Amino acid sequence: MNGNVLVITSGKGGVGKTTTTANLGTALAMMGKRVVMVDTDIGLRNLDVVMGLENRIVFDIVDVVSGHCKLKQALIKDKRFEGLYLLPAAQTKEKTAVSPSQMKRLSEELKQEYDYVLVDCPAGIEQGFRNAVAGADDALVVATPEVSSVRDADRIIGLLEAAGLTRARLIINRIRPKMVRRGDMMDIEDITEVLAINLIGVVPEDEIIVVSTNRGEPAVTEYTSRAGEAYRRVARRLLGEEVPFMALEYNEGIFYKFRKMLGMAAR
Amino acid sequence: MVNEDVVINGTNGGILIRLNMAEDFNTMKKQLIEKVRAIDGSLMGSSVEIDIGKKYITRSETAEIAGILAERGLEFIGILGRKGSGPGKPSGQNEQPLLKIQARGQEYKFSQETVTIRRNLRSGQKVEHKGNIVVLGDINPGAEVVAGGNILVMGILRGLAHAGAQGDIYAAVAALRLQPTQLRIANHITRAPDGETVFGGKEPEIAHIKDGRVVIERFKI
Repeated sequence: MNGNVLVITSGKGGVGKTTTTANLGTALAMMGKRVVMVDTDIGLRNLDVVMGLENRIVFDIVDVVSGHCKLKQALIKDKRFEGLYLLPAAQTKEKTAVSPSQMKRLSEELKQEYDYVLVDCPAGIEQGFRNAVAGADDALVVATPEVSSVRDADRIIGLLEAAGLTRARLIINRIRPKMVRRGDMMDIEDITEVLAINLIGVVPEDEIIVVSTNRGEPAVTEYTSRAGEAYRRVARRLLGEEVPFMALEYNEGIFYKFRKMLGMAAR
Repeated sequence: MVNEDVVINGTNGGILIRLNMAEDFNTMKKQLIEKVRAIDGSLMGSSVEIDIGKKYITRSETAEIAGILAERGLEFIGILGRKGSGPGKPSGQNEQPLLKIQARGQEYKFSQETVTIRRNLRSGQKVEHKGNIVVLGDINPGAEVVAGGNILVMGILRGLAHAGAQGDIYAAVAALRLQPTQLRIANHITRAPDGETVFGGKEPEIAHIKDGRVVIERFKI
C-alpha cells in the first residue's frame, strides 16, 4: 500500500490551514480511509487542540525524527473515528528541530501505512514551510477572498512549483456569498483568474466552525454545517469523485431562512 | 534519490551545469529538468554552460538540453569538456574547451536577444535580462520583470515591469492587458492614480516615453 502525502499550505496565517486539515482528515476517515494528520507547526501547535486530542500527547514529531521514540508511540488515535491518527508538533522546540530530509523520510514511512498523510503547514515561507513540503506528493493551497491572502497564495504556488509540486489545488475558504453578491468581496473567478490553478473546494464562512474548533469537534461531523458539507465535498473530490460545487445562494443558514420567513431578511 | 549527476553552480555572469554523462541520459535528463526548475527566477536570462567532463554527448542530446534550459528562460551558450569530449563522437586531444571559444564570440549577440518565458510569473518571482523579454503568460502582483530592452506580455501584466532598465528611453512595455502595480521605463516610474486600481482597459496597450512622459496607448495588433 502506498498512500498520498498532501501538504495543506497558504503562506498567510489565519486563513484556515489547520481547520482544513482537521476537517479533511476527519471527512476522509469517515469515508473509511486510513488517515494520519501531521502537524508541522513546531512551537505553535494547534491541530491537536482543534481535534480535541491535546491531553493525549506524550511524544511528538521531534521525538520521532530524533529517535527518542518509535513512530507508533507518537501517533495519537482519534477518539471518534477508526483509522484516523494525529502526529502532533512539539510545542517547546523550534522549526529547525526538524530538517527537510527527516520530513521526507517520515512521510515515506507514514505512507506505507496510511491512505492519506495530511501535512498541516505553518504560515510563512521559511524552514517550517520547507519541512512541510519536503515529503509531499501534492499540495492544497488555502486562500480566503482577500487581496493579501491571494497574494501570499500566489507566492506559495510559485515556491511549490519550484519544489516540483506543480499540481497544487486551491481551496477558497471563508467566502461570504452575500458580500460577493453585493460586490464587496472578491468572487471565485477573481481569485482563480490570478492563481490559475485547479479549484478543489469553496468553503463558506460558517459560525459552526468557531464553535466546533473551540469544542475540538471538526465541523464535518456536524451535518447542519455548510462548511462541513463543503469539506465533505472536497474529501470526495480528493478520492476522485466528480462532485458539483455547492450553490452558495442557499448559504444563508438557518437564521436567514427564519428571518426571511418573518420578512426581516436584509437584501 | 541521489542527485549528484547534475550539479549547478553560479559563475561570473552565468551558470555552469556539470553533468555526469555516465548515467543513463534519460535519468540524468529528469534530474536536470528538476534542478533547472528549482533555479531561482532572478537568474532567468542567464547564459548557461554545460560541463560534461570527459564524457561524450550527441547532437540530439545537446539539443534536448538546450530545450530544457530555454523553457526556464536560460540561454544555452556552449559545452565545456575535457580531453576526449565533443559533440557526437570522441574528438581527441584538445584539452581546451572547444565550444566555449565559439560561444564566447556569440555571447554579446545572445545577450542582446530576446528571452521568452513560457509560464505565469507569480509573486516573488523575478526575471532580469539584458535584452528583450517576452512573457507568454501573466505577470501577477508581486512579480517583477526587468529588461534592458522591451517587454511584451502575452497575458495580463499585474506586477512590476521595468523596460529600458539600463537607460534606454526608447524601450516600451506592451501587454494584452496592461494593469501593472508599477511601470518603469528607463528612469521614469509611474503608477495608477490613487483610487484607480488598474491602469488600462480591456484591450492591448503599450506604454512608452513621449515628450519626457510615460504615455499609454492602444496597441494595435
